[in-house]
Amino acid sequence: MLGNVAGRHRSPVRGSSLEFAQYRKYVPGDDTRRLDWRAWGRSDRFYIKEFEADTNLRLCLIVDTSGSMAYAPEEGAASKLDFARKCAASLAFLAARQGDAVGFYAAGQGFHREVPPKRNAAHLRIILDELGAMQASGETGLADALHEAAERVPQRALIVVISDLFVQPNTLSSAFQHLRFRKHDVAVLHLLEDHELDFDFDRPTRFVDLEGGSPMLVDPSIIGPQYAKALQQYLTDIDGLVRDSGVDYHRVRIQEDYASVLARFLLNRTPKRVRR
Amino acid sequence: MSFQNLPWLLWTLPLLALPVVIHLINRYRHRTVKWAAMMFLLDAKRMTSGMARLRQIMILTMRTLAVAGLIFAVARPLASGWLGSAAGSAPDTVIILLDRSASMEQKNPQTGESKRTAALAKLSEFLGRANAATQLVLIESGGNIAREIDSVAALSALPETSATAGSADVPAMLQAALDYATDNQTGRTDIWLCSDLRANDWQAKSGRWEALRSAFAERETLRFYLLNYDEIAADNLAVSIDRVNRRESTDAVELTIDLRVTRAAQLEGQMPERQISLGFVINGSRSVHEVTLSEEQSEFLLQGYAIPIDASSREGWGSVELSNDANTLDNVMYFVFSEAALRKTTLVSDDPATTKPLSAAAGATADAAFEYQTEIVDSTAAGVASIDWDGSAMLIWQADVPEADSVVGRQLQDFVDAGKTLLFFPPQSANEAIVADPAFGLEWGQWREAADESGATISTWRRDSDLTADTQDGSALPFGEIRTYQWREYSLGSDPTILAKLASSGAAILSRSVNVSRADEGGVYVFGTLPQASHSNLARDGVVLFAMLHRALERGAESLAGGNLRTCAPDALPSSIAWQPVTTWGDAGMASTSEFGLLPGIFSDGDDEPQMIALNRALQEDSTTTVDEVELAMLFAGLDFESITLSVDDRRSLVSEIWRAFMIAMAVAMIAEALLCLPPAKKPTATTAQPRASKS
Repeated sequence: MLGNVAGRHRSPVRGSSLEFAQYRKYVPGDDTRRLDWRAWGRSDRFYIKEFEADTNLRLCLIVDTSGSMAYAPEEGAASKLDFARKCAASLAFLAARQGDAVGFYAAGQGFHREVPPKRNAAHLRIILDELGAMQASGETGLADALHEAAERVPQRALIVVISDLFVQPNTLSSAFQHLRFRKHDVAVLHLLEDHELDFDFDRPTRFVDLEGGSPMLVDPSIIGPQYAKALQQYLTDIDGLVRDSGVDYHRVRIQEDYASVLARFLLNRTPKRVRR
Repeated sequence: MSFQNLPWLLWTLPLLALPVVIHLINRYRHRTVKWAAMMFLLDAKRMTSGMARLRQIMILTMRTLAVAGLIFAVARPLASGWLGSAAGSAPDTVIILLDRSASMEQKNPQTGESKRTAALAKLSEFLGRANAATQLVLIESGGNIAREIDSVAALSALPETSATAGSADVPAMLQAALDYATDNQTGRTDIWLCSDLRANDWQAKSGRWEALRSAFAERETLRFYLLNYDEIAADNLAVSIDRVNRRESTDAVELTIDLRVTRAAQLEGQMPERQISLGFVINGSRSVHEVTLSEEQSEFLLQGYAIPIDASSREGWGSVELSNDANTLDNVMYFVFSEAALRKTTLVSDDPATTKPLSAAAGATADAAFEYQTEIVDSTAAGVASIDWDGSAMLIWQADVPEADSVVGRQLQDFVDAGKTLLFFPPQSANEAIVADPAFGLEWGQWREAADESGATISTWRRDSDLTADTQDGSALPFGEIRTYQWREYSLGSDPTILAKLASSGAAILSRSVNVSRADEGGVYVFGTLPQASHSNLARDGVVLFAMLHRALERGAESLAGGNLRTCAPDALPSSIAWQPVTTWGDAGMASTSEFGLLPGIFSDGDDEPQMIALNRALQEDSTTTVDEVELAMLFAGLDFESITLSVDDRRSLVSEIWRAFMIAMAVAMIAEALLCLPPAKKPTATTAQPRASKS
């Protein structure tokens, strides 16, 4: 992770540290102070000795606040947005606690709310307030929001996108590639709900679009197989997309405990080298 | 197909819409869900076309079929594999044409059921179950009269459906059906014809068929069904009597019988040798004579078979019987006998020139076994009153024609009805009184003379039968030599049978009235000329006159001398007498007295000196010639006609309940519906898999 100060995260650049990383051949322009003379003595060749460098982290939390995030399996139950709120708050807290800069973006049609990354204790309070206040409404504009984030976040950062990704996968592809082009480390928590995956309705149902589209009266017994097919195709596309984009992707059922989801996310996450 | 529980069907038919209604209600009672993943629904809806919609329609169809199957099964559907007519409602009228001819008594030896009873049973079952509210009309071959019947249940028990030994006249039966349909303006009418298609009953070449076809074709609401029992029994034997005479010689009295036994022609070429027991019953006493039908022999003639009888048996009755086979009705032939009758001819004439040659010819002995006698009476009332009506076999009438309804007119009619022969010769005077309704419709016209002295010749005469027929050796009577110098015009009812006519004018010189009931005995003949030399050479060249008079006398004598062998017909027994059965084929108690004429057997008039008459089946019924399919199709060409071929041992029903088929259909529909409703097998997909490990 790149940062301005030494921190707890390993930096993508090699620097001065006690932890040896690797040798590499000397090339003109390298700092001669980092030549390993002993290796020269043994092999009559010039090698630069590299060490791991620790740095601080800029965490940008992008939460989808389109209408679809208001979906809850039943009346009064926690919605996707609630789940996203908990995850984002937890990540913000953890980052702030270890001295990392944390920023927050609420992505609807563009950014509804925007809190640039900062590294002070008071900033966490602001972010938490924003998370508490955010509401899900309107059509989704996640792809545009991600493009905008790629432009607005000036330095390399860990960008965590929390969304149901109910947009066409090809539009997401360009957004993720844009973020990757800007050297950002991108992680995605893809929130889905059991009914959306299983479509286990047993009688005709009128589905009201949370993003304001036309309602649809559907007989699940007729449309069920085709729904499953469309969903399967979408998930396959998403899998291909994240694989091609190098995105750290996590498919999450909101019925799961958010703590275990975060634990899985953090534990499985390994340092990622950004190509220079 | 029809339904026994039709009201139920009609009331419950709307339930067919139940699955669709439930489907619509189910759609209406939807719940509302706020939904995020609309993009998948939109995609799914785009993909939901073709098979999915078809599947849904098939599910609804299967549910509807299941309900329909249940409703139809409860409505107790009846089906007839042969009818095909199905679907429509019951006809307004069903007319049953029943062929009761002798050949319809062919039986199944195992069940004893005849073609007639089998047809009646099948019709009773069918009409009883399928057409409960329909007017039923019976037309049977015994009377050809339409009778409305209340219930089909009693059809088999009606006297009008019992066995007869007569023949049928199918065109006449159809005409009666047409008349009934026309008179009563029936709506949709089904005509069920039960027959064995015997050619003599159907008279396929009769001109009446054309008229019937045209008349039926104008009525579009008529449908014809034929229960076709045209199967011929194998190796069936039939016996018939040609002649029975009681002969008395100096030392014995005996009956001589000429008879023939015929074997069904169906098996020609493969007929084995067969021993036959001929049973002779004379006045109740039975004797048996064995004869052998050799291989391939289809007919056996037994001529002059003599049976000695008691000399005191001056008259009596008897029968010839064969052992039982497929048709028991043709195994028996009844006869009566009496002393050799006097061949008596009575001439009613005031003209000696006429009576002299006629008396000489009629009184001449033609057969030494018989005695011939003539009597001449004048045409006055006293003369007519002296006529020996019972003793005369032939009456020659050369006098004014009496009125049909007068005493003499009725006497003449009874005389003819008794099977005797009546010959009319023209009165000399053309000034007789004109009567409004002359007997037999005979009206004399003017006398005509031949154009020249050679006289008029006879150009055509009937050579196949009747008085003018060729002789037994095949040579023709010399009618060509007859010359007629004077003849008198006449008219004889409507459409008489002309036996001989003149070449020059085409005038009928000899005719026979067709208005007589018994075609095989007696009859009414009219001569247009007289035998004396001034009118013709009939007397001078007396061969023709002699032959014709003796043939006429023989026909008339049949009813006197041991004759009285009559063919079963509705009017075979004069209705003026209360006939009593002596012995009959079958149960006479089952038949109404009006139908005795159709029942073979011996009947007596019940007098102290009883007159007995033997009734036998129509011999044409022995013929196994049937109307073939091509002819049948031509007879009913252009009509809504269906032929149902049956055999007497056919146990199939014309109609059967097929509710099981509908229950099976319902079960099949339900299984199909269940299969269509089965959810597709779920494959393990990413949608149900745990979220995969993070990419990093």
